[in-house]
Amino acid sequence: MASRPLVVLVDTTVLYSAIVYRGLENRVLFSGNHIFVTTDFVISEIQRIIVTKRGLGRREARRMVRSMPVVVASSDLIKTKLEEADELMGKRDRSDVPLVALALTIPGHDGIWSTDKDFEVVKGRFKVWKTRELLKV
Amino acid sequence: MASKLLLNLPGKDSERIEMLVEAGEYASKSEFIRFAIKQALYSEERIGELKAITSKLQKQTKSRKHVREEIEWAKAGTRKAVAGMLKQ
Repeated sequence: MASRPLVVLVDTTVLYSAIVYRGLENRVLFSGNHIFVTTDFVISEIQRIIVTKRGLGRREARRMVRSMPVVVASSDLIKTKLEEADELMGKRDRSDVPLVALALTIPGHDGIWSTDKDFEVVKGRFKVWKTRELLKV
Repeated sequence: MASKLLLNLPGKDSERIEMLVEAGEYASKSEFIRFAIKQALYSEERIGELKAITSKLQKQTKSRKHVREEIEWAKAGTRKAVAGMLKQ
């Protein structure tokens, strides 16, 4: 165990996997060992899926999102870093730009938790955590 | 109906609660304990709700491929939104 909890930024794939599978992502997210932060873009994506594709009611979806152990940063917070983030990530996948903007905005975080290869382009700037690595910390 | 509880607290915790009461954060040690219990019960309730919903979603999950398709579908909306924000 680290002496202080890590502050880790979470992408959609990891967060959604933690919800729909009882796998490693689920174990890490609900371990209570770290502080997880994400963008409202990621939360909107998850809400859209569970309402439109999974048939959950909007109220139920909102309740679920509110109960997740994740701090949600609003798009207002990251908008000044969007262009810089787009330069880093935009060519790979624009849907990941808000999370990179969050990484550029929050001082002193410990990296990004993602299993997505697109985040390899920011490895020089931020630590990119794999799920198994976080289980060992 | 109210009920009384007798608690055994580690000395350090008890001292910290006393300091908070002295600082005026809580009216008494009892008020602190009532607040802490309310917080814990609220958090348990939310965890229960979350477990019920995630369990429903886990039962619906067909395959990794299906989940990847769902995510890809949702990300298309974000790409448009980000492109719009960058134009502004």
